[in-house]
Amino acid sequence: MFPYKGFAGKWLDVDLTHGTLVAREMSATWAERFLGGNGLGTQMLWEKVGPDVDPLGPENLLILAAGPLVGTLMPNSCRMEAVAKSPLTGIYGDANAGGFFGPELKFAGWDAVVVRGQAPRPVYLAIADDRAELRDAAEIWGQTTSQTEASIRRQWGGPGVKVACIGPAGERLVRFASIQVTSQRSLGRCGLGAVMGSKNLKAVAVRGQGSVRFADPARSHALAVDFHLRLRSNPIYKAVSAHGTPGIVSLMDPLGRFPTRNFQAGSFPDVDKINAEALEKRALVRHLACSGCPIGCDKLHLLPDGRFAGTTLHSVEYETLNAFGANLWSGDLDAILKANRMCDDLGMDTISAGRAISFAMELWQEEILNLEETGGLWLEWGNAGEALRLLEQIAAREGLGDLLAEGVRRAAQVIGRGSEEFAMHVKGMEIAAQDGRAQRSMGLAHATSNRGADHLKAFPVIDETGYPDEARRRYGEAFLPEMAQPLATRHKPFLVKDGEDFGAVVDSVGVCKSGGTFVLAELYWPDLAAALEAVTGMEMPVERLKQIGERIYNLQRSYNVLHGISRTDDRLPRRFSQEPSPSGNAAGQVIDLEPMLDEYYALRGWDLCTGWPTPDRLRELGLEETACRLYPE
Amino acid sequence: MPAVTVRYHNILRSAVGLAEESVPLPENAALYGLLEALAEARGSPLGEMLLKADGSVVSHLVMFVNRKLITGDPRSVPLADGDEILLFPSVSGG
Repeated sequence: MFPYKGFAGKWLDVDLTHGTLVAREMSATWAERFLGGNGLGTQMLWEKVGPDVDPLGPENLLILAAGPLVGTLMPNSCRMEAVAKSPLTGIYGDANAGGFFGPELKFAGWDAVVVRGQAPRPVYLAIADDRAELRDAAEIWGQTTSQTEASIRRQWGGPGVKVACIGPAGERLVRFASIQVTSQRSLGRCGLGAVMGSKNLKAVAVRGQGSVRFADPARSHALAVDFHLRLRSNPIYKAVSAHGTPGIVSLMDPLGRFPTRNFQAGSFPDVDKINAEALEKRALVRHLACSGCPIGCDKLHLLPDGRFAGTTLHSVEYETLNAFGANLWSGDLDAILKANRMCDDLGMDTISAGRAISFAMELWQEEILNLEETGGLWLEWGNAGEALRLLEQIAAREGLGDLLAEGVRRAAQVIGRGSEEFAMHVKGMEIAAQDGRAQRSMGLAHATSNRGADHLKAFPVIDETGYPDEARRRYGEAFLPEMAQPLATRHKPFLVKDGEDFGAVVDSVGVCKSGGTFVLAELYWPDLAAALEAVTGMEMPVERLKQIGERIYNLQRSYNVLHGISRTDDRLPRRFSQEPSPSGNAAGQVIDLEPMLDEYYALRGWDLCTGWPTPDRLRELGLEETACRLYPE
Repeated sequence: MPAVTVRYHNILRSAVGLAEESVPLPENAALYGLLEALAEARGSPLGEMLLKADGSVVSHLVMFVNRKLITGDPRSVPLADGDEILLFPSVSGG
């Protein structure tokens, strides 16, 4: 009998090749060592998906999981996690989304759904509490994600069903295809939609009528109330609530941290056309929130007129405003929103899609691509219309789009002729909208992230604009002033390591990084430890929770080491170290990564030459089997 | 008369009700003096978003002068005619 509350206590084992569905009891040992969500997925991937497995082959797993705090009273306890080997990077991959699917999965009585094999024909998985079945998806194969959700609600689940599904891009194995979750939330990064497409799995739909049980209901309630009140009284609560992530667009611009023309610069002259105020004036309909969220950074938008009149969408994010705006030298807000909706409907990550197009535009600028090679597309900077056409081609895998659908690393390898210089990726994943020249910690975070260039693993917000009070509270006076200064390198390896370990726990329990743990920087290790104790009944001293975070991060790194990753892969494109930023507060700056990497590896207890976790460190973290596999001698 | 341009963002813009304004600049003025002048002229709620009751600068206020982030004491940041001052709440994320 699974001993802990908070968890549902079982997971659904789905073998698409044989069409079997088996309910399996959660392992108490797994829960104690890796919690759920991200940690659970990491452990399953480590055990079952070896280096010889093709990410788009039937042996890859797709793990959808909701951690032990998901569906509870804790604020922002709504996150779901997807884990698989990434077809974009070929290494560990994950994605995380808010909304309502995660809680619904828990209410249905499941901690995770683990999908393996390949269905002989398109299917979708329908879960209604204890009952699960594979249903024919022939009629919905080819539909957009919004059409798919509507079809499944009509055919099977009714209006309350929550759906995670792929669009045409996932079906065609675009390597940065997303899984879209009810209400236009995205499991965006790492191309996990292509994993789903490779399995002929169109969607997972869930309906649950149960609830989450608490080990100590009174304590859980008291903590939840305390957390809610603290978030609401946080000094930047109102700013985040009012504008969501678009609220940082205008702020990142003078910092020189707003990537423009494929990272050639960090400021955009037309930023006022695409910032939060412009978005609100043009298209805001109403404020929304994910399950259990007191902040409500989500918004509903509608283009009321113009060439894309009637386009609606949720969750216009900072990243997308950059990817299809400044990144393409475009101040055409309507076209940005249209591109966002196209990505949501076709099922693609807006970050990677935008970077793939800016990569092509820079190749056009450098005359590496000509009109014949672009299939007649004029890819000069700012041509939003051609960008939309190229976006369609990527999803359809037509023309130049077919090549870009492979991601910029593979596309550059095919194109050659020096194009590799302009492929802005780390470990094969396109870089999100930050610039290490303007914020040192973020440069290191991009380089070390286990899923490739990504801001959300370490998510170092403390020095983004300067959070001296939070830096003092979390790390102590000794870390100031540098810890809160974006251009300082001192203490940043510590900030990144702590963020990666804490982030691994945040993604494993199922709370939101934008909802108090990183953005707002309100809830920290002691808060999550207390919440876990109250909800699950596990003994969870802070030091134990920290070790779990470090264990998860080291297991992901070890998985990547098995796939050939080493220090030479913890790198940034040459541009960041050789081309001084021309922009704002970062003007004249480059990033020198190597000294920070030395310090980071030392803090992690990793080998300075290889960047591998040492056997001793792995054993200290309770990863004996991992140490044996990495060091068989 | 010497003047600087002050641009407000996010909830500061909502609080003051305008995106930017030109503010006369006294001789030998520093950034802190500008904050004091704005707090006095605009009153609540902008004033509390700039300065605490004890006169210290609100720690979640982000200030740029000519697109340079100010991380030190604003009393030691001189202003000159034509300077552009950007004021933000310290939002973060991505």
